[in-house]
Amino acid sequence: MSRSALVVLPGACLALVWGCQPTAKTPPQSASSPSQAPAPPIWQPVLREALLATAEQALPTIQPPQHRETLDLLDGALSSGTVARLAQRSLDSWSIQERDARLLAVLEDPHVGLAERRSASERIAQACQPAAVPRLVLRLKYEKDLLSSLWVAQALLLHHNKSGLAALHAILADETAVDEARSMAAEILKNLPGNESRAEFPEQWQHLLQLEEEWKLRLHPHPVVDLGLQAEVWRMLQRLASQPLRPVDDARFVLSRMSCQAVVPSLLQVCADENLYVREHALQTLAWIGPPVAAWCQANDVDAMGHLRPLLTVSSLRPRVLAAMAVAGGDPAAQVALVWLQDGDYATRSAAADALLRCAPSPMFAAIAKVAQTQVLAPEGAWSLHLLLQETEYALEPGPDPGQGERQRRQHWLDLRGN
Amino acid sequence: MKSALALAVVLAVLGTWVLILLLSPATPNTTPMEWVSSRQCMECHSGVAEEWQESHHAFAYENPEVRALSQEFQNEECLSCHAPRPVLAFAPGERVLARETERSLGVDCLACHLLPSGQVATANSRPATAAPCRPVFSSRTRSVDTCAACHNQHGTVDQWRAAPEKHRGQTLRGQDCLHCHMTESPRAGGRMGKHHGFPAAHDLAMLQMAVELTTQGTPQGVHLAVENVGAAHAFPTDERSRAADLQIRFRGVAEVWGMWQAVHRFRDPYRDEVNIPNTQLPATALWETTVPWPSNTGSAEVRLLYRTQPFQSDEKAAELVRKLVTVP
Repeated sequence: MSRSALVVLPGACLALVWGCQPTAKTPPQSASSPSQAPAPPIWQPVLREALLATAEQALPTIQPPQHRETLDLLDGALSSGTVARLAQRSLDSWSIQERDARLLAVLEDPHVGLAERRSASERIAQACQPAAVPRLVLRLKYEKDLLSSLWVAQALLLHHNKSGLAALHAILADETAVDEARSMAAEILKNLPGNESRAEFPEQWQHLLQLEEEWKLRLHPHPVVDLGLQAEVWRMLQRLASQPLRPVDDARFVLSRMSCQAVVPSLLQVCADENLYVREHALQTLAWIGPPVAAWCQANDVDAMGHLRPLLTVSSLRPRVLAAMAVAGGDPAAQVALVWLQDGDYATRSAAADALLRCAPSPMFAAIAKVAQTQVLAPEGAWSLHLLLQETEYALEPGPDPGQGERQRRQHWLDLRGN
Repeated sequence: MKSALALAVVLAVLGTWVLILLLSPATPNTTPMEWVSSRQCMECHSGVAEEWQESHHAFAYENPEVRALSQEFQNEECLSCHAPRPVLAFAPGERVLARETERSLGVDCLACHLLPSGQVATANSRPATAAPCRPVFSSRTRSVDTCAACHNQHGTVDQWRAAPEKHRGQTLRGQDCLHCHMTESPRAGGRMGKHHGFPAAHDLAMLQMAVELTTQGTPQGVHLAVENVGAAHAFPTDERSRAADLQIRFRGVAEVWGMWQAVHRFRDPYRDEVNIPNTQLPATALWETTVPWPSNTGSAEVRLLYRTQPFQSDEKAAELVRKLVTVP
């Protein structure tokens, strides 16, 4: 052993020890990375497969030459004599599916003139397939012409969809609306189902208000969903995957204004879709529809909790799952939410509190208050529990103000508990 | 000899351990903190927080205009960008979704700095790893895609990508959005950081840098030219509610100013505004016109107003520039 060994050896040991040092600790990859984490095995190509399976039943896509032809024919039919007769004959020659698709394309084209727009909407109000309903509902969002809006509302009534009653209500209530629109609205009001025996306007108006309330809760017989409508619902669901937000907004607008029978089964299925945006927005749409989801699931023996419960394994999705459960799952959902109020992370605890505001039965209040006192909640969640328990012996402090919009949202949920 | 060697080995190992213990940075609690609210960040980063609190990112949820347009956020789709989850949890360039908590903080620290792993991301390539938040470098915090998660909904980032690198011999586009919207700002210890005030459409100086108005009185009328000289995207951009209006008024021989008259509006119309063309001024584009002189006119005044929503009154709009033009 030389002296040099005494110098080299500590250096070697130093290098050895450095090499054995653990590298900087990296927290484990959590499941809160919706885009980047590997997809859990439960995700399925639900939407892709459904679109493939129903492609044949969907309304055909109208190409620009066909669209121009439709406009020409509508224009011709508005004239008189032979031209009008020939145009009408051509308009009548299409299959029902093609006719609906062509007329919808006219309504959806913002550059179409008023006369053609009204003509198309009037024709579709006379007869259309259930498959036209989703895109007709979307017209309620964009149509600015009052008469066309009323025709659309009437077309929807053919298929027991009462989303258009809001337009009818608005026109009748607006004394400044053009007379033509007001008289047409009065005519539709008179012919509303159930108004046949009511001769006076006040009675008819009361009936309209009643129908609107019933529609909000979807308290009406659910029509059987035909294959064409189902195909169009899947197409609407496809918009949830869009990167631009507008198609997503449109889809949520439509899906939350359809009968539960038409949309809830598909929405429950796509909650496990391979696309994270579809999953998130499907859950969100269920929550938007609100209490009718639970009522429909119960009436149709659909196990919504069975669909939703497995999704709770994904932490990033959990707040949305709890929100959907709150409207679909009844008391069992409240039990689940209570567990997450205790054991969830910050965002989940808050979502659990929100869910409890929406669905917790009063016998659970004591347990909720007990858990709440041990947890740090976000302002939103704290406000939810404050509202839920405010008039009970378990009242909680509201905590920091979550903002006016959030207070209003939660007040709305509280109000829905009364229904 | 053997015992001396053994002693040397033992001493070397012990010495090395002591050396490591002395040289190692003090390791704070090894349990990683859970970052749930940007209020946690503000406890240490008060300077940055002050900058951010003056920004429209901080104001994104509380802004009365946004609240009115979104019906107090009952239009929930607005929440995705006005109270977003951490952008870095989504694939680069993909849109972000709304968070459920602390929405009043708007576009907060975690929105841009929280990684899916739960770690805090920084654009600093030599992060202060000993800091309580133990930041890690991530190039995504300053990438264009991160901003695009919200700011490309109306095509702003695509406009930027299509813009030329230079204009009038000056850098126009820069490497990323930060080039214009996060300028250098001094930080503790003498180093430089990025300013978190995000000057943009609500900042008069920034708006004034974007466009140049030139006027010239000619025998035919007032020649007006508006050029997008400084914005590496359209002017105006992003929200469709934004509009820039060029107006003119004339002074007659009686020295009395007439009413302001509209000359041109720069704006991307809403989707349901039929037959209204998109009149945004693309990067480097020039728009010009000549307004004829009315009879008995001595001079004209021209101004460019910027409105955050098209129905905003002239008084509430930002006046970017005003110029006097006389009859030649």
